[in-house]
Amino acid sequence: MKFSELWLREWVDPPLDSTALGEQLTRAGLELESITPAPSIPELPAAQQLPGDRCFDVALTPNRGDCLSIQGMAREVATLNRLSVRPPVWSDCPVTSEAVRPVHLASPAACPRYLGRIIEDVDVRRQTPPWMQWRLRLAGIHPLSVVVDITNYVMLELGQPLHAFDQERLQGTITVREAGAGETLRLLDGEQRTLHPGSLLIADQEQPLALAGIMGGEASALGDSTRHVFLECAWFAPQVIVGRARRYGLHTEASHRFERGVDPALQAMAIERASALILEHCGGRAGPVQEQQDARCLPSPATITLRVPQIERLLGVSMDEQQWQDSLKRLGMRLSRAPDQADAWQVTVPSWRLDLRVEANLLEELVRLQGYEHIPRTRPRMQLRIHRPPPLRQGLEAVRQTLVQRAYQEVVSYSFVDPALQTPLLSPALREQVLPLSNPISEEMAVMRASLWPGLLQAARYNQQRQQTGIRLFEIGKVFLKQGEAVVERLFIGGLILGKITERQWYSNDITSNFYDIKADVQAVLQVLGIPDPAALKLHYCPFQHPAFIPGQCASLSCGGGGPGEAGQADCPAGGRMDIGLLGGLHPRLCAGWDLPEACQLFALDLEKTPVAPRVRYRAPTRTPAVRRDLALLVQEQVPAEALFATVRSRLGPDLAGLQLFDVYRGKGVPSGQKSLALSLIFQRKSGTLTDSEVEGLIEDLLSGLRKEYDARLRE
Amino acid sequence: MTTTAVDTEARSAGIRRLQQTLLAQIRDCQSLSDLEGLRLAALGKKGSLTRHLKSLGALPAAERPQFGRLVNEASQAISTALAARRRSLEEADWQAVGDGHALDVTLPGRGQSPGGLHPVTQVLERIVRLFADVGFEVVDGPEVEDEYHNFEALNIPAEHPARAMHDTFYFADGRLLRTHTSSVQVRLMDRARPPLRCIAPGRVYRHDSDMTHSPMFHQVEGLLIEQGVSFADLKGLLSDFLEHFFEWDTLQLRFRPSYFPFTSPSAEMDIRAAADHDWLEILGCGMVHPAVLQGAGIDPDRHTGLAFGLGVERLAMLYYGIDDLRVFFANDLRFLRQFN
Repeated sequence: MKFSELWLREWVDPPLDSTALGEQLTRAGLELESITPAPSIPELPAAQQLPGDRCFDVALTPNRGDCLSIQGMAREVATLNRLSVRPPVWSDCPVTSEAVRPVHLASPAACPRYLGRIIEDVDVRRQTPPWMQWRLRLAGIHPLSVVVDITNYVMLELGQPLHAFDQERLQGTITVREAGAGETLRLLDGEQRTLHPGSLLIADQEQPLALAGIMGGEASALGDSTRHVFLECAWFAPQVIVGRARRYGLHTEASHRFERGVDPALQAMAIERASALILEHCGGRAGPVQEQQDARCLPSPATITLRVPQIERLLGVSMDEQQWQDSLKRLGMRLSRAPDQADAWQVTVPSWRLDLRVEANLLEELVRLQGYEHIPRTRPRMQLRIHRPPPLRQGLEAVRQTLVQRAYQEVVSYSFVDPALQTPLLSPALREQVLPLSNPISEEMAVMRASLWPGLLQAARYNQQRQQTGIRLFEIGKVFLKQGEAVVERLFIGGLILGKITERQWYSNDITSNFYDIKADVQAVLQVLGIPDPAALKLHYCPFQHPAFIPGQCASLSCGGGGPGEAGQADCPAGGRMDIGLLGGLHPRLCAGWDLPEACQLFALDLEKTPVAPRVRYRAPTRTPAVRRDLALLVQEQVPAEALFATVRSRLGPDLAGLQLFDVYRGKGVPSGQKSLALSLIFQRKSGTLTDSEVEGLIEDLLSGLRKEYDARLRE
Repeated sequence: MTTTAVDTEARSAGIRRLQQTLLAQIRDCQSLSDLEGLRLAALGKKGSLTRHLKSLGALPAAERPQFGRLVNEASQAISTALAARRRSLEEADWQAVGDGHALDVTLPGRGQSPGGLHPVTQVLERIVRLFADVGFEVVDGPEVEDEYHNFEALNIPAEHPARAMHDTFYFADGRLLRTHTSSVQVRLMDRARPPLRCIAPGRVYRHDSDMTHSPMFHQVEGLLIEQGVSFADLKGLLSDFLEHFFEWDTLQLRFRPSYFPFTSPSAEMDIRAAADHDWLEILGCGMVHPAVLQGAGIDPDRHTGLAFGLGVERLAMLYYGIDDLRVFFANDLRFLRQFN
């Protein structure tokens, strides 16, 4: 709400300078946006400029429709300063014409009151008085023609929007009704619109004339040739205006006020005020005011029961009776003792405060007038209660810290992504589950992310192009999937490493990161989530075919399900298993598409599916001596190391205290198509010492088992 | 004086002279190999002092103790001097080697240096810790919401003007991206009974993008429903929070009326770093509207509630002095690494 300060001070003039007045408004919940010096308006003669005036801009919250006028602001300022308002004085214009136009309220719930008046022989070509132009301009309204300016002026002054029709362009009875299917109307903005059925219209016998409470129509608008004016002053229910203007892409001064609620007791005064101004500045002969109303549908002033103990209970401050009663009375409320309740009052709210509905609203008014700055700071009393910490939350902090220690930088990227960039990163199944927005900001943000990789890759590219090195990024956030009718949100962690394993350093550079580097990070994440021993939770890394990854350099991570033997198969059967993640090297085709000149490794883990290990059970360290034996085994290339380990573990059972892989070798001495895996085995028995011959026996058994299962041989 | 006495005297003097000579040689010795030579010459099998020891047996019994002591003392002195000289020669050797191969101690250490957390995460964690420390439980809610939880249950019916303040992203089936974390309030009140004290951090979305608006940002919603919680408590709690969050001695706070459909009274808090700065809006809050409590089956005459919503990026901008909202989501490492 913008307005001229001098205009407001005509109504009420508190002993405060502009800044102090603005501050006071802000403290009362009418937030001052700015005070600007009066502009110079070239259209107005110098003598009519008011350089001492200022333009106040107050950001009103949607509940304070009553302040969308000088009258409303003046009431508020008067209340705050214990002054009374001095409204301008005018006399109702004499009725010198008998011309009337019948009005019919076809939709009384939407428009329960409509006042109309014909003013004949109006000179619409006169100039709008400069003082009025000044005030309109400071309120941000461009003067148009005198009668329209007067209706706008009265709207600014009193808060009641009015509309003036060219009386001679109207046919028969004016009906306030809902639009039917297919009706059209060319509005004052010059655009022809097809009306939504149900939109509230002002119509005559022939056609729609105006969108009620929003904008008039072109056909019935005032023009230079207008002689007689039909003035409309109505009350439209907020719920029929709100949202409608936006649906037509319109936001007008009138709709802004009607949707916030115009004082339903204001219409008679406003039409008299407008008539008086028209007669004063344009001449003419006024007909009688024709009022149509349906009192049942008009809002009646709310009566609210105020229970005195609630003041202290809700606000935490005590107020004496005189103080709070005085505050309410200054706001225009009437008080009487509640007949059937002790220590309670019936408070009748003034007609303009449609926002006050419940007791809490009254308490809010009390504390608002007292000033929030006078409320004491107290501390809530609570019962001590220990919460069970959500398991994941603590885990997340540890995961973040782990990745930070491993040189990762956390990023936060948008939840909506470019489908063209995302689709190639998704498996065919996931592509079917992408959730598009109905009204995206742009094509680059058109769908919800089904993966964290688009955001990570975007960040990698952005930084790569800015000569940043050592790019290791991770993000924790939700991905969104459409599964049938349901939308599924899953919390994921995603990571990316680009290029070398470390930033360029002064020693040993140039080790390009590969699958095993990102796998180490995944393992570290799983470990801090509480999964130290992959075997304990049947965690499997299986070779995986995925369109985003280099063939043969992608693994799916799953848990549960069948025994480790299955992991040896090329494709992992999903039976009983849950996929919890994916990792691997980005396909060179996609690297090129993302302008990434170096190898790029990615991972993603579904944090909600990632199992949490059972609680640790302590085992005393074994005191008996341990025996170490190293074995180099020759196996076929396609035998996965993990499968071999599993066999070793199951064959040796409790006698195996440790297993470590310390070399993987191919080349001289190893037949082609085979590899040598060097294992270091620690043998130990809980009680008793293993003799050399016992160990030899165990190894003998193991080797024969491995030979049977994997055709593994000892490398000589 | 007897001949024997004279002989004894002469032998003793001889030992002392030998000791002096050996000590001088040790002192002047310049290499470990020469030192080893000296040791053998003095204490070796055929060393000069060894010889004297071996000759003890030939002496008259009366002289043996005294002369023996003398030889032992000399041997010990020589051993000590040899060990000391050895240490100092070894040290000099290390020094000489080191002088040629000294490390540049100013070179950076080896290994990866840590990365860092996004400033939004850091600020979020800071906010969460302050509230969690006084017993607020951290809860989570969906980001894809329905009209009911995002608007209607919060006293914002379809035709409410307040909806204009929430430019909303929609999906084809009418679902939407939550415009505030207040929706978590509703879900919480649906499933839990008072007393409730929770904070819900998370992403929120508005259909708005320019210098000062981002289509996605973060909020922390707070909800406290207890018997006897008051508006003065709300002011106290949030003032305490802001003072501890910013830790600025000159911080000024302003608590002023505002409007949210789901609270009454409603308030906004402004802060400024010092008296000569402009006020900046920092959070919205209020007492939970009785209609919202009733909607969740909570009797407003038994329980009162306070609620607040913090803009995380706003707090981060003030905390770190960032002047552009968009840098948060560009993920520029030159920006992110400043917070490591």
